[in-house]
Amino acid sequence: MISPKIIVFVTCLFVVVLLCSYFYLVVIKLVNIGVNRKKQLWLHQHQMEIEAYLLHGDLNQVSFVPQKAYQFRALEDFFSHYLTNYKIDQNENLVKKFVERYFLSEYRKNLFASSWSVRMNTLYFLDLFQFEVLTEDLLKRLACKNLTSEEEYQIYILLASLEYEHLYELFKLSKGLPPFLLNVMLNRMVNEDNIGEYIAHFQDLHPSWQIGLLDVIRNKNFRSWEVIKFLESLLTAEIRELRIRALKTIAHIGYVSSFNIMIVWFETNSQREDWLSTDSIGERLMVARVMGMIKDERFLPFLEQLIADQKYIVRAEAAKSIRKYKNGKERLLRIVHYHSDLYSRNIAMEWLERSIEND
Amino acid sequence: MIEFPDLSRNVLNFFNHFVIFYLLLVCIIYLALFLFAFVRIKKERGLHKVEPYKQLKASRFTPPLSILVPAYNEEKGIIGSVLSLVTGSGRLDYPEFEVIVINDGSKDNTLIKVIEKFQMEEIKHKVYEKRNGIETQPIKAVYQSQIFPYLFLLDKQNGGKSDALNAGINFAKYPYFASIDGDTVLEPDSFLKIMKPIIENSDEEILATGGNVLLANGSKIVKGQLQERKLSQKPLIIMQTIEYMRAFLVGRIGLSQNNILLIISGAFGVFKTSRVIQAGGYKVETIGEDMELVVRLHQMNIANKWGAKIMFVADPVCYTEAPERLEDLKTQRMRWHRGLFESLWHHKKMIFNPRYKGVGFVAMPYFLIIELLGPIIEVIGYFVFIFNLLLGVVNIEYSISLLLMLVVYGSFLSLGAVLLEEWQLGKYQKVSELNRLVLYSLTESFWYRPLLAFWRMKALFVVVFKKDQGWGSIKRNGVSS
Repeated sequence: MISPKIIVFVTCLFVVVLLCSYFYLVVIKLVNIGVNRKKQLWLHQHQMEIEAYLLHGDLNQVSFVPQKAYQFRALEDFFSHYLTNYKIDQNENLVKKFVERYFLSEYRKNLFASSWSVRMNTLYFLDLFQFEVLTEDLLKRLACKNLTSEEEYQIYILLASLEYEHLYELFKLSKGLPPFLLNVMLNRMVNEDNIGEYIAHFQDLHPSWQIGLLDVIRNKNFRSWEVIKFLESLLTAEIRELRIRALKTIAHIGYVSSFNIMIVWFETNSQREDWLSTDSIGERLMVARVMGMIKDERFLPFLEQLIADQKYIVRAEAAKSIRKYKNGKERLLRIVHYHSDLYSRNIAMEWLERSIEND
Repeated sequence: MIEFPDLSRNVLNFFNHFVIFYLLLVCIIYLALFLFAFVRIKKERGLHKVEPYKQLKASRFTPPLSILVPAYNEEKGIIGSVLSLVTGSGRLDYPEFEVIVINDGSKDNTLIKVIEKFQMEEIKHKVYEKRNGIETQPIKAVYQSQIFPYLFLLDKQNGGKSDALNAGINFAKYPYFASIDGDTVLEPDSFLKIMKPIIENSDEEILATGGNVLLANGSKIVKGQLQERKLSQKPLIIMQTIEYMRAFLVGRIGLSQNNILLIISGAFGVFKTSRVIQAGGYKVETIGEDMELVVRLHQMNIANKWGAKIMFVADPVCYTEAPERLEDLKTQRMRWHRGLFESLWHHKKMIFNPRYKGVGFVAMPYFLIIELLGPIIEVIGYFVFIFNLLLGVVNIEYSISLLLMLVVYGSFLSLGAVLLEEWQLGKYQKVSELNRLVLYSLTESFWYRPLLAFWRMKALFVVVFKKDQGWGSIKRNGVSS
């Protein structure tokens, strides 16, 4: 049995903790309510002046300079909302000018704050306002021992926006970024002007950058002759993932320099031993998509081959691609009536009825 | 004082010691879970509510999501639930998604209501893929909305919730799917928040993430949108509110921190489609399909060395309706307990199996001893306490002080959960609501906890002795007006 003294002691201890927690809860609730109220009131009082500043941009006439923490937070939220909902020319960004004058020192200090959430919030707001002058501070932060992965990722993205020239070298020394964030980062770095450089040095890039670059080309819809030729050259790449992404990007762009490239590619690759294996589903799926985007009558026999694929997603993609052709409905109808494979007949029947617009 | 023989006295003494040892064990485990949750929420406290998610919202690289909404006789809640998905603040704040409502042979007007409200048009001759051979009851028709082209409706023969979810998985075209109950209402940014750890994690693959479930009772929800968050005045709902806070913010965060989380609520969870297909989908004819799937994913994760994680994320919230009548609460809890039994029974080989590391040695025994068998020990404890008092085996002051300690400890945990809620979500706007939560948490040990213990013990007897009593249905009012 537990000694009665211990029971009494533990009970008293928890009563004290309970009471303290309760009072703490009430106090922070009241403080939070008060702070929210003050933020709203302060913003309301200065709304006209803030709007006037955003119209005329005279920093010397500003009367809403934040002094207290809640005023900083109120303005941050206001500017965050403003920059998210209105498209601002970066050169005319009056918010940035204001923030640079009144917030920068606080942000510089907060980058090294002991609280993780304060540091993260600072990085998110820096991303919103984009201060080149903080590049050195960001690099210093990267070298800190208590840097977390989340901070590291966010700093790389920020440096990409700030066009930091040694980012690639820095990246090579790091453990890398998750694919999504890497794409976000590359998306900020790559543009119409420098895509040629990336293509020229493609083979030297880190494998994750190679994959990411193809996603960025697709996302930004780069359609130059140079890009097309580059994508076509990747159709014969050793790495399967590169071939799949190249096909996916071609399907998105909807253009090849010559239809023969796809015909030769299909004829060659469909002879591969592993063509019908599970590993090659991605290539079969994407080539079916390419042939639906770049419509050429000579692709139809290949699509009719793919509509009998063992995998549902390939059959469905092929049927959808056939449906996109001018005489697609007739083709599908013929498959419904005459194809020897039941699965092909079924999927053709489905796409005869379906509209491609809503898919 | 009643005379009674030495042997009986010894037996009673044994039970006294056993119950006290068990209580100590429970207290230590809960305290450990609370500390894990405390550390994590303290770290995330103060993180901006909007900025971290802008990147995901604006990017075309954000992976698309299939949202599965199984519905059986949900005519009251289904429209609000679907509206919260397809409209939201203009539209659900997620870049690309599809919503698949699965009508599991409802006997009420669920099907008609959805067809009419969203102008659903049938896709004729739809081909169904049985992914990895996942079989379901026949699908009678597939519809697509003419207003929201990303909204689909599967009308199938009744086969239970698991079967409905499996039909949805077979139909889903995106790499992740979310399972949402037919009466659940989400906040517009819930999916961004629940997907963030999946998308931005590079160290490990994430198999699934579970979100936070809050009670809608008492709050004002209109057309699938939360207008005003209020704490209900009803004692039963307040107790469930505290219970949910403790279960999600203390229990699940604590387990999740160590990658031994065994439950992702069916009301709101996201799964990696390919892995669930690989696992064979949801197990049909089981009550606790959500837990069973998570345990199976853990088992496969370890067996196949995927090195993946299953996480709980406290920030994304959904609102669901809690039972307001005792009879409905009893039905719900007995069903949950049966589900827990089935999940543990199906995977009994994992319990205390060193191969399954933390899952086999900590999580499974925790669910077996504390959650499943706990109610029996608790009820024994109540009887032992009464016997002790009647027979004068222990000192009455001693018993009362022990009871008081447990009440205070229970209240401490409940208050701790309220504190974590305030740090993480801060959903309650009034001090009077906080006071009500604290006050009711002090009464828990005297009525709510014994009530649940009796029902759960009864459920265990019913399932062990195969006494088929039927599991009844819960009366719902619908969360959204």
